[in-house]
Amino acid sequence: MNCQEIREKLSAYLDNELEAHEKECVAGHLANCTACQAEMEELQKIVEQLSSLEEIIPPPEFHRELFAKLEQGVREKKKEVPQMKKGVFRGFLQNLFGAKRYSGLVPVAVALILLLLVSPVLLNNLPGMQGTKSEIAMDMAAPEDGGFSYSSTARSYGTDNYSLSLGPEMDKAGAGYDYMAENQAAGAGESRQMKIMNTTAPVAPPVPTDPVQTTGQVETEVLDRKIIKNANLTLTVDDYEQAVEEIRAKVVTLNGYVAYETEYTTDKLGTKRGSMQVRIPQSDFDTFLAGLEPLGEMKRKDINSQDVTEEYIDVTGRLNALRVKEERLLDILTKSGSLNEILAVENELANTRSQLETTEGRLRYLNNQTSFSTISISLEQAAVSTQQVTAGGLKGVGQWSKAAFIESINNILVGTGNLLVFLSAAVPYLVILILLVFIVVAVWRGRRSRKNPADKEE
Amino acid sequence: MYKDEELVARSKAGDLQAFDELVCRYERKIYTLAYRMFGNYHDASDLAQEAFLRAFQSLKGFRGDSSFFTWLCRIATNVCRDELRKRYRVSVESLDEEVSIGDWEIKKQIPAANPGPAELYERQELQQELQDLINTLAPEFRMALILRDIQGQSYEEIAEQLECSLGTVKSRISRARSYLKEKILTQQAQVDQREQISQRKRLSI
Repeated sequence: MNCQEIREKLSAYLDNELEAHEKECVAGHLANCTACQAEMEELQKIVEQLSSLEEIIPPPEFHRELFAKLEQGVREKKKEVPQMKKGVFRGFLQNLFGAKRYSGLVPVAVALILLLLVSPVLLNNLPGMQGTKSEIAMDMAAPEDGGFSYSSTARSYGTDNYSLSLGPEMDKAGAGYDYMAENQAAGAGESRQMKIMNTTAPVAPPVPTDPVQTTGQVETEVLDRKIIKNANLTLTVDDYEQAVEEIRAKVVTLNGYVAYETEYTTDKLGTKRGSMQVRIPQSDFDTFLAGLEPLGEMKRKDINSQDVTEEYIDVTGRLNALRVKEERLLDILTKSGSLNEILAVENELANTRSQLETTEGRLRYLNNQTSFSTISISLEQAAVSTQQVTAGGLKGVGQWSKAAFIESINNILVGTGNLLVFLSAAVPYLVILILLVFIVVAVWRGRRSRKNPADKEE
Repeated sequence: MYKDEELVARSKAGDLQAFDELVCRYERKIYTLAYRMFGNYHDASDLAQEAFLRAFQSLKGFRGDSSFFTWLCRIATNVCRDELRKRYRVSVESLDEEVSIGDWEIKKQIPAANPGPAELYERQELQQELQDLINTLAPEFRMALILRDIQGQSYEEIAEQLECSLGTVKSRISRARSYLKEKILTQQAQVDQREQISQRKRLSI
């Protein structure tokens, strides 16, 4: 080892921090090298001098100041404890909106979305569901609320004229025999009206807005009874057009005819509705009705019979009497006489003939009514395409669930809209809240770091 | 006289008086350490107080593995080291380069401390000189030297404290001492020269 190396080790040698073999090495060298010895001495000297550096006595205020700071620290720590909780809470919020923004907000957002979705559904459920229910109920058996809602929806579909016309007419046509007067009042008029007037007490429908109700008149082949038979049906079919065609075909087959036909589409669910009035020979009345059954779900079926035998006999009798009278008058006319007498007879003859016509008309009417039944069919296309729904129960559930599903989707859209509105409304508040949180956390942290300079890391 | 352990235990419980007693026991040593590190009273006060405050706050973490004083010293050294490094921003790596004595002065970025009134006493001139020289040392050298020659720590302890290797510690101490030695000798030679001149002047009058 040369002197340079030795000198580098002198300090450690002096401090006795060398390894044993190194120490020997140095010692050996020193014994022989005066330069290094001198160096060693100088080193020793400086170390001595350094070691002799006196302890510095701190100035008096040092202790005082220190104590004061210690006390203050203790006080602040006590204050910090309740703040700690606040700080923790705020820190939590900070985390919520800061670092852990995503995971913190997700459950909150989910809860909000659920709330917003549920509320419109709940709100809509009350009146809305009723509406839906009514629609569906119309496809189902009538008794269930169908009456009420059907009328409400029917009303909304502009069948008011029906209901209105039915009302008063209904009251007027109390007895079954006031046909004459009403016939005349209505005039040739709408056959509809006539039909309505025919519907008297027996036809009194629970739903006044049934479009048309007529009594099918059936003329019994047996001469002793004359019966007018009416039927009033409400059918729900899958395919409106197809059903109409089928009915027409049946009518033709049975040698009947279609008296009138109306059709209209409602907007609410795109339902097609319509009515047909058909005249079927009374003998085929039952056959025809039976043939209608498979077309769709029979929501309503009213069959009315009216026994007009007595009137028939009366009218027939009157007719005969009038005819006889006519004959007699003609005879009297041939006998001739004074002008006055002739005139009188002519007058009477004219009267008689007029009455005869009326009576004949009545008879013809009765014959028509009794020989042909009037069947009024009200058709409705199912809102939700289903097969022939025979009875309620499960099939109804299927329709209901589909409708409810659609409604739920609507509600989700509504809910999403509401959520967006809510969020837009909430954003300003959130911004303010976040600012407050940041300020508080910064203050809290600032205070903490001032208290604990030890925590300051380089 | 209570034992350190007792006082520590009471201090942990929040007894400020107990801690104050500990302060009294060790304030000189800590103050001296700080003073030697920074060379002026102001910094020494600040840093010594800081060391004690930190110690008080960190009492919970003190498990009694070492003596209280050792632990306290550790804290004080850390405080001083942090402050030194912050002030002079000399990277540790550059100090390990082979450097001649003269280069130290180039590396030095230390502003000279202003001597206070107490420091003008002649009696303390040498001490002051030494301290001034120490002030010119770069932080890592300064710390190693002070820990060794003023605090009396072993090389291993110093290595742990400064978070460097044993070899580095040896090297730094050696170089720091050499530097001081050279400087002292130069200065003393100058002083002697001046003395001789002034003496001759006095005699000539």
